[in-house]
Amino acid sequence: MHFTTSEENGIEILKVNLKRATVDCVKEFKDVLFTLIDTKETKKIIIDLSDVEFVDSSFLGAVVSGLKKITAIKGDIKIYGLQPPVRAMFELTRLYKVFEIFDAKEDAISSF
Amino acid sequence: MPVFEWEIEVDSLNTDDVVDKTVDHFIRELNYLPKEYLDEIIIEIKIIVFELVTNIRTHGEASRVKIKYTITDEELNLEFTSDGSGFKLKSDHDPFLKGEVLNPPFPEKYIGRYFTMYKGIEEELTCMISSSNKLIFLITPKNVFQNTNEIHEHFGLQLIATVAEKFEYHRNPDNLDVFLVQKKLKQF
Repeated sequence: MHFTTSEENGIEILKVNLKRATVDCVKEFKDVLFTLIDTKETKKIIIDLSDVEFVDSSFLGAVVSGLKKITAIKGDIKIYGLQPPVRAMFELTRLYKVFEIFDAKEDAISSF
Repeated sequence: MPVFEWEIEVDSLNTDDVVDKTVDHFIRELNYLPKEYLDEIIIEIKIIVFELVTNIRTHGEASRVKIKYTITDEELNLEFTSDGSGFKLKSDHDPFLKGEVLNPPFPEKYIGRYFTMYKGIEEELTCMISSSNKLIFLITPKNVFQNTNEIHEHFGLQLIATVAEKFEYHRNPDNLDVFLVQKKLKQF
């Protein structure tokens, strides 16, 4: 499974079980993320990127699409576990100004 | 000057393989650099290669791609040449270009003109038509901070332009699409 979901304190944790989250997995990722938002009407999502060593623009685009969708229903997506190359992507794209990013899952959970 | 070259059929193009081979090459050739700086360079090279390969696989309609890397003491050059159908210059962000698609050879009246390709959070990707067959991509700061809600297809090109000192496209005399990316090396 490239993506797994679990629930903690009413928050959906979407874990990315890939070393490289890129264009090849974007469709599957969007299906999982959008199902949480559209079907389960989840308003609190944390994306766990702790296993991910690299993301590309397509994957970041999908995360932003999810944020746009969830913001429309007054929800939020938070992110945790960025390894240095992934952190660099969030910095280069200034997406760290759009998402709340945490080092520890507990901090991400308690931020909601 | 170390030169690394290989040619791949686009049908059998595996992005991960290309990236791994690229990373191995640059780590081998640049192992004299301080580790922290080398790690930084490798991340940027990965970004460039991932985005270029994705671009060729998804937009270029190419069947073959030739990859060439050259390294000097001052810079790295990454050149991707493919038998695609020419760069399609289009942008919903540019009021002048809205709805229009320009393909090389670019019309004379557009030469020297700058187009906004993508609006990022703090920067914009601008493209200048420098001749009938050449584009130069540039990152320019935005005057006003804006939140972005949507990422468009040129986001990948913006990333390349962000990490590179020079990012150009040209259609060569053999009707091949050439993307050239240059990264300057810090001197220690």
